[in-house]
Amino acid sequence: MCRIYMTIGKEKNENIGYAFISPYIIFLLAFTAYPLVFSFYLIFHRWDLLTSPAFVGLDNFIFLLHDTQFWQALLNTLVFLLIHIPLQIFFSIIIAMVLAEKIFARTFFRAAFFLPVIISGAVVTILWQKLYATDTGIFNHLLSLIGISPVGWLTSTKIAMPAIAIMATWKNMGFYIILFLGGLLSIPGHLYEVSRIEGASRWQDFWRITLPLLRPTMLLVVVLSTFGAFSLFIEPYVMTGGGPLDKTMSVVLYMYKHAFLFQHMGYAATIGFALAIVILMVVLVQKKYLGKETEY
Amino acid sequence: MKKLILHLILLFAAVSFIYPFLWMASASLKPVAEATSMNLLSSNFTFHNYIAVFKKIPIGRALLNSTIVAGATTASVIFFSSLVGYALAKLKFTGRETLFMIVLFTMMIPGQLTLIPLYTLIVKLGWVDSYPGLIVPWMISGMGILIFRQTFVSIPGDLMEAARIEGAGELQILTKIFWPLSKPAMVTVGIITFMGTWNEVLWPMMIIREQTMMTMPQMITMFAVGGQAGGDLGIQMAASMFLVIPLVIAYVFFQKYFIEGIASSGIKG
Amino acid sequence: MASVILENVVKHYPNNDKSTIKDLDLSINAGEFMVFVGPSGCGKSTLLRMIAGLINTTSGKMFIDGKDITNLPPKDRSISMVFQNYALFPHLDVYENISFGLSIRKTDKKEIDKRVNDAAELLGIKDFLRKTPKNLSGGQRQRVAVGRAIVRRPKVFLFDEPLSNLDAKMRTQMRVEISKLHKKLKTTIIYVTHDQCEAMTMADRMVVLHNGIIQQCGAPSEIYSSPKNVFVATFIGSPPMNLFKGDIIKKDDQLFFKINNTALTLPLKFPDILSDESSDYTLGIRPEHIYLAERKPNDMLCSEAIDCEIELAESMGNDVSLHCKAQGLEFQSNQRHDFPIKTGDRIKLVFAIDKLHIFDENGVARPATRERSDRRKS
Repeated sequence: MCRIYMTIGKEKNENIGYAFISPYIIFLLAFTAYPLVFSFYLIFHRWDLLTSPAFVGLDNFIFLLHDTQFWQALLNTLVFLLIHIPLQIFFSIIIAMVLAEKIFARTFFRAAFFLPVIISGAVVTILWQKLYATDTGIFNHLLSLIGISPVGWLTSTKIAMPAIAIMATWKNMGFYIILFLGGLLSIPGHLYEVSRIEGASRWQDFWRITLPLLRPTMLLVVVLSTFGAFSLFIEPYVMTGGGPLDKTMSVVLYMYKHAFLFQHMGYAATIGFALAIVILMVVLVQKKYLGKETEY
Repeated sequence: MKKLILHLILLFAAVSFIYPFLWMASASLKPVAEATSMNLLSSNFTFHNYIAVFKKIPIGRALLNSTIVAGATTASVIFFSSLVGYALAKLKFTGRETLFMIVLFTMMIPGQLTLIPLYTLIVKLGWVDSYPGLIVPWMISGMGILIFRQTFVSIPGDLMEAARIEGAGELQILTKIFWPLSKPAMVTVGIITFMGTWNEVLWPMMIIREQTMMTMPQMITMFAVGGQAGGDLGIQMAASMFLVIPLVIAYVFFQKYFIEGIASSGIKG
Repeated sequence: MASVILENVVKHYPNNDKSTIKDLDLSINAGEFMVFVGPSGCGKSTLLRMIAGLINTTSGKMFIDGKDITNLPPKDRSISMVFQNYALFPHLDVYENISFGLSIRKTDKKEIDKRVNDAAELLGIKDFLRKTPKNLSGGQRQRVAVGRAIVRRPKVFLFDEPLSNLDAKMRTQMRVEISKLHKKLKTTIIYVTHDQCEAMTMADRMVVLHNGIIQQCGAPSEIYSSPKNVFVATFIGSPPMNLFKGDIIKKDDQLFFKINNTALTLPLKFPDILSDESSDYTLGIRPEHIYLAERKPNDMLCSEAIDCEIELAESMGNDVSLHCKAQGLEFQSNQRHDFPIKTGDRIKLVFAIDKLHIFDENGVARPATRERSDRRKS
């Protein structure tokens, strides 16, 4: 067949292409390129939005290095990650594996787990604040049923961050269940048949077939949860205001405080800049250790 | 037997995911005295809390704001992203591949990096406390462009050529041929964008001060945190229900699209 | 009715060192059914798409009805096109598909209705105007695509291998219908196909394209009986023309063609043109011009009988195609299937001297053969 695959000629049609992308180009310049470039300006300046910006050289970075609250916020995020990611992976893989079986009312269950994903973080947080309430919350109520004295879920310096991590796990799990379910269903069934013939147990199946083949999904889940963890804002804002003793202060909340309580635009931008670098480094490390090339 | 145990475990887990919302709905309908009770049912259900919400905060206005902002953002994202997606998929122009790389690159920039400079830009533009401030920075999305491009690439070029022969212009080809043929992609992009905008709280909290310009999540957050609710749990829950109910209704009808759309956005993002 | 004229048309893709269409001139008469035929990659679809305006032209000019259309967008060329895969809009029903171009042009609703109904009547698709393409068979889809093409009443119809996705029976049927449609509408048609059978049966005139160059342009019968070169000779005709390499030699003032590596020499009939001995020539003869020795027509000048072995006899109902072998030569001969013959038999065959084609060392037919056929026709 002498079919030539070719869209359209040049000249006039090239103009149509440019006409179609021109709104995006303007948008890109104004709301992506400009902020990106301007962030490099801001990090070397002190600016309260009222007076004109003052050049301060590396002062913002020097201050950041000695800012214990910033490092506390980063540490909090690390604590959050260390609790959130293992919990997330553990529970969502289990539920996904159950859902991958022939299950009655699978659609219903899938929908139920997904429900928190579509609800605003603001609502979820306000709701869980009530569930975590020391004297009237359901968690302490349930504990009291088995004779355990009330826990200060959001007031204890040790428990507040894990409590937020548990809530975040609950909120996002539906999303990760769907990702794992997709990963599980894409594993060819004949691999398990071969494994059956070779005499492997179900347990061995899981460790030798399922888990290795879920690696790309795993990386995706880890990377996405990491992005989520570094965006933590409304949860501490509503539940604890960053307390107790800054133990639930997140980096974004800290940035927000500098920008909107103290009008430190330059310093807030510096926090954002530092955070972006940390995120990219963490994601690079995760990619290196968790997977080769993953497509997403 | 094993099946039964599996189902029981699953049921228990599902209940723990749904119960909080049922409790929320129930608490919003209970009188103050019963608000913190764990029971879902009460013989004293009342709409008192909902009426109180309207008295205490301009929630009607917030609902309107949210609808306008989420609606306009969604319409704009669908229109402009599909425009760019079409150009990237089906039109030939110098720099096309470069533009595609740029789209992918913008999706990898952590939002935290540009948040503060973007805020200062809105201040400079005088868009604080305005709809443009809430809408314009989110009018086109890299994710939307990517989803539309992938969908459009798979539509046969013959259809485009046939439409050209029949006299359709490029914009007509997009709206009359490509849009109807990519309904799932449009629904996906629409849902992701609408949900994201509807639920967004950080950006409004940065650029909105006036109560009359607040969107629902910000209004509710301020209400709960700022003390206007007077610690009254039932009223806070009632206010939250206004934010939740529209999405849950949409979710019931478009469940498949919600789940697949959001999952695919995660994979592509 | 409108003529289509191409002048020095060139298509060159930047990433390709050879041009896809090379300096092509062609004049298509008003109301003519013109077929572009050629093997895959010959440039025929490219040429059609250039006429359609879907691909721009590197250089040269194109005219429809005397109007320069070289730089016009497709919609202003007064053309319509039927695609190989029908290119029906899957989300529109048959009526909407057919009326698409008219509604784009904001034609009056009543007028649209009338024209769509007329077209549907003509094509026999009235019963499923409200069905969507996926509920139609291949032949029905093809009719809808034709309907969409005719309803705008353009000056030229373009067909891009419209039948190649149909099964053999449907293809034959649609072939006839398109030919009848042309008789009725009398609109100029340019039709691209790789199927020589379609080309032969449908065309008023046909263009044989190869490597972006017109190899020959003319009526199907003319191209069949007097191919201008070896390419056309072997491309048109099934089974293809038998070709033998050899030299022209002179013996007793008579020219003979001596086939390489054999003792076979065939007398040639046109001494006036082929006056000299020449080597590296090619002799061609169509399978139907090789006769059984005992059945050769009386008035035909034939070669001496050649003793052959039948390697394979393929029966096609009333005809049989014989794969023959003689003195190391392999060739095919077509015979009526009214005598017993089977693989392995030995028979005697003769070549019709009148029907020989001679091609020179460049594969170009010697003028003699063409002149001879012209004479015969008149």
